[in-house]
Amino acid sequence: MVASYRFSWKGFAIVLVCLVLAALPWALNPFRVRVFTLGGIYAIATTGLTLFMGFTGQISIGQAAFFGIGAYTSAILSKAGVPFILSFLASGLVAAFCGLIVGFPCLRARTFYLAMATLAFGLAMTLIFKNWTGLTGGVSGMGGIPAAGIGPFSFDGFVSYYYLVWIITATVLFLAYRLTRSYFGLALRAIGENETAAESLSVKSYLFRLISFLICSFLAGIAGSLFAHLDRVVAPENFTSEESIIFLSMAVIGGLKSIYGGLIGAMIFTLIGEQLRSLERAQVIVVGGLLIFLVIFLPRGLVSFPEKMEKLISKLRRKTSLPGSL
Amino acid sequence: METVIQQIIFGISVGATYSLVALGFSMQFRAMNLLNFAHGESFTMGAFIGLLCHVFLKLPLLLSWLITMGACGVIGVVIEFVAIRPLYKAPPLNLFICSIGLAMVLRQMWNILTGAVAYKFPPTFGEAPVNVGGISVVPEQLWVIGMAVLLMFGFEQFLKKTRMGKAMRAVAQDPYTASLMGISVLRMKSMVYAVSTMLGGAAGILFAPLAYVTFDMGLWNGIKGFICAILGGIGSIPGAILGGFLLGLIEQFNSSYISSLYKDVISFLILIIVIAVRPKGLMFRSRREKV
Repeated sequence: MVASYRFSWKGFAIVLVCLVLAALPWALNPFRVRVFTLGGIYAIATTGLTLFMGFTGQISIGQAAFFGIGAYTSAILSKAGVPFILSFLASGLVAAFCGLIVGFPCLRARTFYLAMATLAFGLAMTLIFKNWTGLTGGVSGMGGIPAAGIGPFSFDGFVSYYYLVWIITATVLFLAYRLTRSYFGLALRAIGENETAAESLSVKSYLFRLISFLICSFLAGIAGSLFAHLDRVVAPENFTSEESIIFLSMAVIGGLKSIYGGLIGAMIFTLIGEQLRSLERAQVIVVGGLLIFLVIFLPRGLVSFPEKMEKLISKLRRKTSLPGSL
Repeated sequence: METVIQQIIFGISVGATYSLVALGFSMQFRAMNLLNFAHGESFTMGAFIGLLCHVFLKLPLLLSWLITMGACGVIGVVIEFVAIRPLYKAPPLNLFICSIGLAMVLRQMWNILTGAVAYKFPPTFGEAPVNVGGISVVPEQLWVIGMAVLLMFGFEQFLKKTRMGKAMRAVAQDPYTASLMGISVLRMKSMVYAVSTMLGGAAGILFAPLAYVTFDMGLWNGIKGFICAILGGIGSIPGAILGGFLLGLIEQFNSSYISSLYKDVISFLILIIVIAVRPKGLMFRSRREKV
């Protein structure tokens, strides 16, 4: 077999993005590095949402609750002296377990009903984070979480932590990409396209939706763990339903049908959020307005922007060229 | 015994406002195929416009009511035209996500306009309990129940008797056939949005004296309205009303006998259970779903 060396724009873009991300910490001050780290953390949680929402066509407005469960699990375990790797995995597993408890009954319902059920779960979790003072530290949250460390190496600086987060993000994205190309991903897509047809082809709709919900909450959990070790503080205001809505907006704005959508949405959101910090509360208005605008004019998210532009340009060309002139 | 009756009355008065919100949800779901995440914001809108008219401009209560409901209706038409109308041909999921964006914009708008301050809406009849036959009753709560029931009755008559109400029901039942009968479906959808926003606004101004007026009251009350609509079976109007009263009572008994801190957690648990077990509502037997 002769390997063909065709130039691929996609591969080029991925390599370029990786190089830029690897070089960033040298070009930016620590504060900016922290913002990009946050973007990577959000990208993990949003990728989970993209997998669940985009492929099966469901809605979840409870992502911040799983994010919070992961963050608190990691915080509590790390403070008890458990090494980072274990608490990192534990927070994903605990979040997935909570996902099982919520998803098992709720996934019988679909779309809107599921959205409202997950929203209710998120609101309930916020109340629990705030009021279960013995475990979560109440409204003021928990501080003094030790820095993440693997073996003798400690990720206590912004730059080293940046690399740790982005390596995990890249791994998650790669695995998610492989997942969408697998039988599992195809089954999810079939459910999203037409559930009845998928069932008739013996795709167990409920089971697959449940598994994808578990993956979604697992990713939110590990993202939460990374978040807890970023500022080494967790407080309930980071895990409210507003945050869930932000996660949802990230996924939708980035584009639900592509696995890169979560990354793009999360990065754009975090960067816009930083730029608009001076606007304070108006920031949410901009984001909400953007959401409305995109749903109306670019319903498949920013990922579909090049495609849309291509269509527009070819349409314009056809209009300007004289009939018969070709 | 006496406290139980007081709690029932308070529960019903809060539940009555939930019913009004749930009515809007149900209407929009039936007629527009829209689950409106931003519906709770009409509640805030009503409370704040009422506050502006009654407290800051010192208009009489009845006039404030009229202005509030009128303003809510007009704003509803505008919102429908800007954000909802372009999406009628899109999948319902997009419409839902659009309403989430709408809710974000509206809530933050209230936050900026009013500042994150809790306002007190003066009660119409005072909060001092009055002794009626050995049971002390707060007149304000009776007023809320009375007004809510009046509004519901008026709304039902509107749907049954007026030309527009009939047209709305026709659109809810079958938009295509309705359009063949010379009903402008688009205009009716816009009117449905306006009317449900008016009901939400009325609920807001009614609820205002029972608690404080804050910019984020709409989120909670919107979700509770949704819980009521689900409890009674979404799309059903009597279901929405009954669901409202039911949730009001459940909440009240929760907060006095189980835990006031976690009363909302229990309401949300109920929502999750109902969605899982009887997604068509407590009163309707759901057909077994075959996928």
